[in-house]
Amino acid sequence: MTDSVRRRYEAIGRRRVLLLLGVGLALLATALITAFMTLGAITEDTDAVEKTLERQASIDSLATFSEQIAVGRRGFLLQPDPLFARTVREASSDFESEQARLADMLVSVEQRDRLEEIRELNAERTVMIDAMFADPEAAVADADTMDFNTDGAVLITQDIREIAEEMSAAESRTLVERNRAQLDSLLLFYIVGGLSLMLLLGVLVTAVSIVLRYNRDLAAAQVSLREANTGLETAVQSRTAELIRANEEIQRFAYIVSHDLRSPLVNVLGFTSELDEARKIIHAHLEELYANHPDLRDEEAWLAVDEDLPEALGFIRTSTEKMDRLINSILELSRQGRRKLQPEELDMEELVENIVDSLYQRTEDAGATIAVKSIPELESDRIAVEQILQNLIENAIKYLSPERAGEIVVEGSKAVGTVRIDVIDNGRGIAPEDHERIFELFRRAGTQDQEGEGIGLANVRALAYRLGGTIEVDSELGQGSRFRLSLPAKFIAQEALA
Amino acid sequence: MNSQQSVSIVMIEDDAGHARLIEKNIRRAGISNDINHFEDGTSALKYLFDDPSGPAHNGPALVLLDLNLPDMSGTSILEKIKQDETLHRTPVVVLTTTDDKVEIQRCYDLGCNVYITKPVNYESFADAIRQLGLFLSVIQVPSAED
Repeated sequence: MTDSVRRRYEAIGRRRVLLLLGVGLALLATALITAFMTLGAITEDTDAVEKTLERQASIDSLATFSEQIAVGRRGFLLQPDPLFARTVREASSDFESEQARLADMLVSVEQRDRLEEIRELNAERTVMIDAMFADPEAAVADADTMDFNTDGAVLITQDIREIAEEMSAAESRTLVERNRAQLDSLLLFYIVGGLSLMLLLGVLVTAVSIVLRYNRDLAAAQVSLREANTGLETAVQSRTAELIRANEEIQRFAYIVSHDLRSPLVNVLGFTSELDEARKIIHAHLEELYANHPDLRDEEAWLAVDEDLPEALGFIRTSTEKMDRLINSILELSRQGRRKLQPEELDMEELVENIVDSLYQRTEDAGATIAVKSIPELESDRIAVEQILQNLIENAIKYLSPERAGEIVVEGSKAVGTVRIDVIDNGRGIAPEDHERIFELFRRAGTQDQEGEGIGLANVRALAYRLGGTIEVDSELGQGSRFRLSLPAKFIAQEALA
Repeated sequence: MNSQQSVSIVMIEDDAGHARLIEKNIRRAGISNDINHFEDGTSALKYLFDDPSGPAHNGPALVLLDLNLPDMSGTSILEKIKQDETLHRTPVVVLTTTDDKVEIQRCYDLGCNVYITKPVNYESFADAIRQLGLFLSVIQVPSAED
């Protein structure tokens, strides 16, 4: 019942925890993936920006080399110095290598087309320059009349410049686009990451609030449990106190009743004896009278004095004496019930051996043997334990089977916190319907061929209970009996429980 | 026998039957001393301490005391006798149905001289009373010194 309830609550708690954990993990994964993706995009963008910048630089260099060629050519035309020629040649070679480098770097088709245009224009110009170097004088002569504004090479240079500017502008646009893309991916990252983090925070807050609520519930449950426990303890304590009070009341009652009952008994028995004394006098007188005067003999009067009166007095006496024994037993029981128990370590084997020794003569007379086997030590009240075992062993000797020699075994064993002492006999046994009866006060079982008041086992059980133990019987009629006394290994004061 | 006449017996016993049985047995033991019987503690104390013919003013006595009295506990009478200057040497024989060891011990602590439980077995009771008769003849010695 409680187990299934516990399992259900655990399942609910587990489901909640797993759900929260799942959501949290999913959110964390989303945030991480977004971060990685954004980072990748940013790295890509940064690379692209770098390349764009490189291309732009290259375009600028190309334009510069183109200008240098133009300037060198113009200088040479004005003054055919080999220095100018070298400048032109060097710039041309730089231009070509830069152009090749740029061609490798370019990605977009338009830019490639533009570069191709530049390359063609430059090739055209190179042809013109080569012609100039081939015939410098003619070229210089031409140059005097030449209008630079319409000169082919100059126009080419202008074209190259324009195209290069276009290219540069195109790259700038790309740069702007790249930057925008970079910003966009950053923005996305911030949005997705921020959202994930917020949700994660939400999950965390939920988890913490659930834990706090559980904690609160747990604390409340513990408080109510403790209250319930305290209530239970108080209830048990007051109940135990009541029981002990009731028990004490009964003991006192038994004591007073038995004590006060003895008083009238003293009178009954006393005056019975007085009656007997008086009867004896009458008896003696009649005897003498009849001997001297046989004619006066009255048979009825003689029988009354000689038979009826002694018989009646005898019954009164035996009954009263029995009553006195019973009252004494109750007195004894109540006295024992009021005796303070003194727990001590008991060497049980020694204790049992002593009892067996004290019963030696009776054992011999009954033709029985008693074997004492190992018995664990225990802590209890010596007198009470002695009384219990004395009673049990005496009973074993007393109620032997006439069919076989008596064999009595006393042995002990240990259970958790308990020591068990078994008194086993092969005697006449007890019928199952009498197993409870024999422990009742003044009740006996089986053939009433032995003396006794029916006190012994009642006392044994009262003592066993008082010592915090139990007494059980296991017996089959005609086979034998086993009385098992179970006592706590460590003494627990029953009165102290109040 | 004559010298014993001077010791009077004060019997404090609420049960008339017991008182009669005790008296009978005392007489049977051959003791002929006066027996003053009181059925409650108050009148017994009044006799013991105040009566001109009582033991406080007039000679030795022996007290037979039952512990269960209707108006007071026999032990408090015992205590009063044993604490009194003139009466403390008066022998007190406690006669009761109680054979409780604690109670007997308490009576001896308070100064009781003999403690006799009233056995239901009449013969032993009668024996005890007869023993008391012997005891009565012995106590003549201290009372003669008074």
